[in-house]
Amino acid sequence: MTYTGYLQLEASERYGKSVLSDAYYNGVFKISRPTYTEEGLPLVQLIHVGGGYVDGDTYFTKINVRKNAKLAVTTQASTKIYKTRNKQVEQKSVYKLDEKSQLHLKLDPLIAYRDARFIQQTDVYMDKSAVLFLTDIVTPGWSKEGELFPYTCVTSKVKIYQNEKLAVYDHLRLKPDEDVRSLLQLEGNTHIGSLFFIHPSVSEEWIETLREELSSFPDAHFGVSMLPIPGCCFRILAKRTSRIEKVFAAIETFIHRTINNQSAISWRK
Amino acid sequence: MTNVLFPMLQMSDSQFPSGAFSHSFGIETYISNGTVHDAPSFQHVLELFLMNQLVYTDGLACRFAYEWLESGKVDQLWELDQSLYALGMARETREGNRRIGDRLVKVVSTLYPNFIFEQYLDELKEKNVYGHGALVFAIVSHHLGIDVETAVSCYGFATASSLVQNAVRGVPLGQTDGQRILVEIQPLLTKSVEKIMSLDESDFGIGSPGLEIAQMQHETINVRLFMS
Repeated sequence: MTYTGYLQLEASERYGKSVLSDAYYNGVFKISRPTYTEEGLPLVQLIHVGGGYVDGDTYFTKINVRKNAKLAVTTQASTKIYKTRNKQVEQKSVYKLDEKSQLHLKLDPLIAYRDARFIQQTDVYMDKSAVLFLTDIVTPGWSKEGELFPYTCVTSKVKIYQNEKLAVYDHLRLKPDEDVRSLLQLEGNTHIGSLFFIHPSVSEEWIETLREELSSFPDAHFGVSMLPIPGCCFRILAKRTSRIEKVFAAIETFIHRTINNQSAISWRK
Repeated sequence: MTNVLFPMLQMSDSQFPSGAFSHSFGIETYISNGTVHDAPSFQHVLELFLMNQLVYTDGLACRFAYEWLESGKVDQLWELDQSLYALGMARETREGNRRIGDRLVKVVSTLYPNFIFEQYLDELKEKNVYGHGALVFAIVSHHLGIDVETAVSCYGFATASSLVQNAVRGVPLGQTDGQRILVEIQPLLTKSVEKIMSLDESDFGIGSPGLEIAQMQHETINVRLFMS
């Protein structure tokens, strides 16, 4: 199958240092030249040279992080999805994390414009000792008519397997014509953010301290809870992207201060 | 054959010892923040709960489990059990479903012993699965020769009935108000079952973000009547 955009990355450990050992891309996907963060993580920016996602586009991303290696991946800009009347845009991502590896993924918001239909499926296969940081924000795009929700449907499925067993399955579907703003759904909000952090050191006590830390955002509408494996899911509803990003940044700082004992990744954005 | 109505009535009774009386599945958060404060506001949340949580996850799981029993794909039931557990983003709700499921498997398997329950108990013992009420309803109904729509309907009614009983204590509501809600939601319950019968596997597990946040926030409520 030929994809509109195809990307394959691999990070490995060489002499105690993480390096990008393989990178292949095709179609509208490109990557920036990897830079190294202060903590020595290779940082790669994903670039979509086409400007936006349109009718029938298909995307595939595969990232392997080998034993003991670390990798940070971000996007250059938000993912924009335009009119997709005939065939929805499909994006599939497969991440494989070997023993004691780390993958930090901070993606810019997904913006769904008028009549956009989008489905993304993310499958993570990780070892029990591996670390995953993953964020996702879905926002409605601006529309000429001033509609709050111009898009048709955005679906996101995230499955995280730990040692071959399905541990986390997050299935989100935002369908504006089914009263997406109601209670139990977005509850009057327009933006939704999800953050997954899987790390062997995450415990109930740690989550309790994270909650205390986040009490500095009294107006934010969010929840955080322990997953079936050591890790947490954080979910936030808001009316602006910047609010979600502020809370995410605070969580990131907290993670790096309490668990890695260092400053947060400098994403250079 | 015995009258199949009796076992279904027994299973759907909110007094059935499943432990469901200890769980509000996030609704107590809405009570605590004032969103739910009387019969109409509770009924509104209950309807949304059924239209989402029941339709896309629990009720759909009941239907799939039944159909897989019908076609002999028993292994898929255990996978479904694992998926239901993995879908729980909030710890208390996930644990609540597991406790209720585990209890139901143990109680109902002694009432209606059969080969599938034996396997379920084995899988539970091996810690391959966690237990879920939706599967128990499917197994019993299939065992008794009850059709799939009736099975899903009973499961849906049992869910609604236990949430209403809990709201009577938690909001609180009058007993008559609670029973009136159980009458008034029947058309919606019927529609929900129709919808469940029309969905496919790609629809399974669609979550309700606001509800999930309420279920997560329940962990930090100071005064609580319920465990979730």
